[in-house]
Amino acid sequence: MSNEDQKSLRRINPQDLQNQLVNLEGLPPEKQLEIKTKMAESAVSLQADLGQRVIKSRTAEHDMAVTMDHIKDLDHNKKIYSVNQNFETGAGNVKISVKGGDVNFIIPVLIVIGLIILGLVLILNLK
Amino acid sequence: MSYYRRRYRRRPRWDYRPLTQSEQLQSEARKKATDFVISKFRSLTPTEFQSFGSWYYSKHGRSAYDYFLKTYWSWKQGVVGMSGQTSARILAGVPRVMSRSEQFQLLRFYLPYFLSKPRDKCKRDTVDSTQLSEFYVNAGQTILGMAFDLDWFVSAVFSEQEISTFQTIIRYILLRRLETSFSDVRKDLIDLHNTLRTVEADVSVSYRVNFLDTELSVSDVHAVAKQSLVLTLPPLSPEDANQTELRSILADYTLTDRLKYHFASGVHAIAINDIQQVIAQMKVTRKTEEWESDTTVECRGGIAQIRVVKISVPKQKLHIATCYCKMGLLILAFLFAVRWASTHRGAGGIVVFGGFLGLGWLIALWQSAHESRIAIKTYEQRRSKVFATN
Repeated sequence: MSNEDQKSLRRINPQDLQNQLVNLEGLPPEKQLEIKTKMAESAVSLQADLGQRVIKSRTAEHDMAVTMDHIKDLDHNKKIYSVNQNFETGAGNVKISVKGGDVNFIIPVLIVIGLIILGLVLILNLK
Repeated sequence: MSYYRRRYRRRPRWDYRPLTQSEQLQSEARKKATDFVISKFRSLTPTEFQSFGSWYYSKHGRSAYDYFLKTYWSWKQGVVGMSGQTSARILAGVPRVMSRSEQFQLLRFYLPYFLSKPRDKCKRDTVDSTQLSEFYVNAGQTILGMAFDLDWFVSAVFSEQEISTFQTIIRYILLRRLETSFSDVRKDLIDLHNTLRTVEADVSVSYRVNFLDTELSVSDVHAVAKQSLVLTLPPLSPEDANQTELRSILADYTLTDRLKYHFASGVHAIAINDIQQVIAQMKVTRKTEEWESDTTVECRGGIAQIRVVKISVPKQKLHIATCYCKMGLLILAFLFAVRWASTHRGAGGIVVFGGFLGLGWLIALWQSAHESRIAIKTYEQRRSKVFATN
């Protein structure tokens, strides 16, 4: 941007301009009514949309809690599980993946026992 | 021998490129404006018809006028189609006999296209969040230099002053939107940071700015919080403010934007609540459980994607221990086999063969343990950051 352009530009205080130009009172009554009606219609539809989003969010919240309870049950029952769930929330969506309940802890115990046995055999064999 | 060589017409190479949103809106605007003019032509009042007829006569001569008079009712009823030349003449003439509000209606058809232009012109693939204000300043300058050209049959009915005012109004609306978008994106990132900073997991965030259709690489939110944006725009003159139709366009769009801003704040609150719920569920998982969640939420100024990964460190450590135990067992077995082979003739070959197999297994086990160690190390490093970048 050249210096001349820079000089011709000035910082706009949005409040000033809006008071000057975005002032419905300066417009003819029919235009005012048209814009006000449009605003009211938009406000109603946006409000309804917001309400629906809140409901969706609450439903997703409940579904998530139920899924976590289910996972807890699986864990209590010593099961290996991998749970993948999608939830549609009010502001978007959530994908959850939980893996757990692995009973592999027995493997190192077995290995240690195996090692001890093998070690004993080896020692006896060497003697 | 043939004197004619078979020639193949060289086909033009079509490089297929899908239309951008702005291009689609441009073609929609043109179609709407054309349909509006044609439908107006079919429903001209007697006074308008007379006015259009006299313009048509003066512009295209007697014979064209006679043809117009003869064919008008057939055109009106759709019995006879219009030629390209006639359509162009109608597009040139009908807007002149329209009422002022109808002429401004033609302008309004182009607003969605003009207001979507920054999405194409200022768009970038990825911008680092530390350069957010620089990116917005550049976008502001692009908007100031942007041309908002109307189709010839629309611009013909407006004075240069009116078109210039219209363009200034568009720039004003766009720059206000840009300013709002910057402030929204900034607030979104700060809110996301505050919501996710206490999460004991690997959190990565990607954010797409709606207004400029650009991906933000979010790493340092403190740098974003320090940034500010100062925009300048050419002021509207008091004469411009007297133009009722243009003022109503400005009032209409500015008030609608303000309304949408309040709505977006509500949606943002829902988004933050959704993220908190996901985090709350993650916190109740056990240490032995592994968690992965991908949350996509619509915030004030864009769409955020949050990935939270929690690996089970005890499980990984157990895996490493298991690998080492297996390795130890293998080495012991090999030593035992060597001892056994020394007392049995001809068993050396079997031991060497088994040794090679065992070595392969040993390497695989060591690699698996090493990968787990690296995974734990990387996870701990990423966990220490609020937003880890990929």
